[in-house]
Amino acid sequence: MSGQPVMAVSNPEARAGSPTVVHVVGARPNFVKMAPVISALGRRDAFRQVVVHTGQHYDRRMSDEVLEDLDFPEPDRLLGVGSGSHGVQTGKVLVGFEQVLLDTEPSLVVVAGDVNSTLGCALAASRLGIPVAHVEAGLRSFDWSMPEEINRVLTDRLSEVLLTHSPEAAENLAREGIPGHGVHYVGNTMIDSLRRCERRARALETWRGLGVAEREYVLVTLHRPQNVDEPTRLAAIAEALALLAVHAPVVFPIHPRTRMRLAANGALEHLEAAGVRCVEPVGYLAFLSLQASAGAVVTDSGGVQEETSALGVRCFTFRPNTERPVTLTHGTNTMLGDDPRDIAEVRPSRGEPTPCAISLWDGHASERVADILVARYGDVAAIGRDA
Amino acid sequence: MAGHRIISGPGLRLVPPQPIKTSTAADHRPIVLHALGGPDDVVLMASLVAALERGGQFRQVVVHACAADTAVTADDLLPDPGMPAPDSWLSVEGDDRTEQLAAMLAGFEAALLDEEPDLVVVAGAGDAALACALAAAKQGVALAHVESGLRQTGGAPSLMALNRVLTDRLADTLLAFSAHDANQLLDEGIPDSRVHAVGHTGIDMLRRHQAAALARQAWSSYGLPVHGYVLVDLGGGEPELDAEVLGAAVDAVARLHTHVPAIVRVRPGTDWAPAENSHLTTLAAAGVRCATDLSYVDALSLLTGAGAVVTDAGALQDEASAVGVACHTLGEDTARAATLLHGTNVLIGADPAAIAEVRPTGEPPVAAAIELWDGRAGERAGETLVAHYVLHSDHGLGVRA
Repeated sequence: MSGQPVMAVSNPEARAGSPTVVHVVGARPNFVKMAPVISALGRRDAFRQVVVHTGQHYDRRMSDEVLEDLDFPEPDRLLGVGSGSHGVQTGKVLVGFEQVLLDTEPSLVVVAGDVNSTLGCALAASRLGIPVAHVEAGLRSFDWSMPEEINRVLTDRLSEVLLTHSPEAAENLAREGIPGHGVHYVGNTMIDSLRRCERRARALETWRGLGVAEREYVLVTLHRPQNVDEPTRLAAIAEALALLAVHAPVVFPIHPRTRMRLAANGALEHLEAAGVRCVEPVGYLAFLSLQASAGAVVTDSGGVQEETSALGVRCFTFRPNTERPVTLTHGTNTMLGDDPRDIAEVRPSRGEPTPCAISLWDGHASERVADILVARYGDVAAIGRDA
Repeated sequence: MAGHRIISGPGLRLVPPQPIKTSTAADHRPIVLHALGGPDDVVLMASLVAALERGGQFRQVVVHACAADTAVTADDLLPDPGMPAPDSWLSVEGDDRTEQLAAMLAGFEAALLDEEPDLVVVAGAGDAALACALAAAKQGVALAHVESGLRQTGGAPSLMALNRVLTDRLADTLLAFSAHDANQLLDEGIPDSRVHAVGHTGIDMLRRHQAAALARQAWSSYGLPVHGYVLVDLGGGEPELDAEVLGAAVDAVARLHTHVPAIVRVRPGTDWAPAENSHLTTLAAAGVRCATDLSYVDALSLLTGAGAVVTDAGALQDEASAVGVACHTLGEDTARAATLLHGTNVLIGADPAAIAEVRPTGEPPVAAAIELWDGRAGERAGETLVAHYVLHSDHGLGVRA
């Protein structure tokens, strides 16, 4: 399979002789992590940048909305791998991305996060001897039943430059025998996106449209297969959310797939009867608005643990473990465990949020990423040629 | 056992229908699925599968993935691997290695869903090992890796080197050929409870066929004097030789041949395997014999009768050391540390010109003992797997009872 023809080059004004860097995005969280990196590199003008969207997240409407909110550049190549089993999806990414690499002959490939596209593209690049930089390297849940953990460990093993967001991440890499000279503690590029969009997001006041008051409501996001794919467990979670709604308004954006499952066993009706605001999934800005004004957040996502910590909103992580312990030690995160009944005990904190400053989660991580990549792989001579 | 099944997936078909073992009465033993990806993997896996079969604590399923065009020849190369025939062949189709890897990722995933094994065993550093290891990890199936801990020592990582480090990262049980390889894994932070130095399973295969190889006297059919010729086997190493080096090596072999008889082994899948090849023309013009499509026993026979070996292939360095034939390795370093410490291996440097200076010993080989390379590594690997994955096993494999 081959991608569609090149539609646009992200910074066509870059000199023809500049080295090429290929950026990979495949799923929603990747956009948030990569947008500020692409923008910071674009300003340095040391690379020709090519953005590849693998199409791993197949919900076109959701993806497009997020891309727009982030001012994400139009992808130059769409691989359209779509959904599928891990093996089929990773295989399609491998073959499709290899073709992009043969066409563009990049000096560097940048991948982010821990989805199948991250691993597939890192592997395709490594097999062609092209260096890989991994944004958000070194995260470990030590839970081998998470497919993301497998993707993280293998991608880090393949990467030449490992960009970490916390000291723990660097320690994890050192423990795995990864040489320190490739590891750079740069901070969290996801928070760069958050800071850049925070003002616009807060101005949306998305919560108003749901009939809830600021700081009074609990925002709930659940997407992990072990929580939403198993009917008994999903029913128990719905029961806990209905109980929680007795004490505080609950806002629950629901993925269409999960909504279908809830509707199938009558749980959706039960939730709505209990007053839970069962809404459609929302875009990046609207979701940021909902997080920023929540009294508490219940989540099984990774990124939400980080965003709530940066916003100072208390977060309860409905999982047995986290690969982001810095949000526990320096952020607002609390491990709730994986017993659904505990969800009913969560209460909103009605006071003003007090953001904890996590070191290097300052909105400038992408600038540091760009400096490192330019120094290692960029056309250094080109910088300042205009000056 | 497995029964007849069709694996469907992109670019996959089941060919040709193989004799399938008929299922017996209810079998509650844990299932081990062995994933093979070609003759090299069979050499590494055969003694382990045979040991487990003798022990009987596992129900064994063998899935052999081969590129569609080599599926038949794998059987010809190894007529008697000493292990049960594969339960199914995964015929892998694709125009290049990446497409084949993608096909194997999907194919092994389907095979694991179908067989529901308790344990998956992969060997070596082929694409099949990585593909099945990744499928097993994503499905939460325990994984054992035979030939763990080997590391390429310098140069850009070859495809095999990438496969090795990733497969080792995915494995729950890492079966290493030597204490050196086991230490490499510990250095990478892998807990020592998972790492087992069991010895070289490839040498088990060698010991099993050594007598037959001697009796075969393959050297006579090429008109070569026993212990008086140099066996050259290049292009199968890690990293792969670049074209310039290979060309210089061919010239050096031609010069070598003016002093002593040389024979070049051409392995399928290497750069000079195609028949139309300037290297082969050069060699032919110099009168150097080329041996293609050698069976395992014929190749071992040529090694046993050689007076010296020149290679960059890791497996041959091991085999030469086990047999006691002087081995001259092209390169500044080798991953096969045991062959330098205890075997017959000598590094001749990266300049192929040195090949012309190699001379056969003219004497029968004298092998030194290398720890754990005793022909019983498969038994120890089997014991390790039984101890870890079979409940209530207080009889071990039962072979010593």
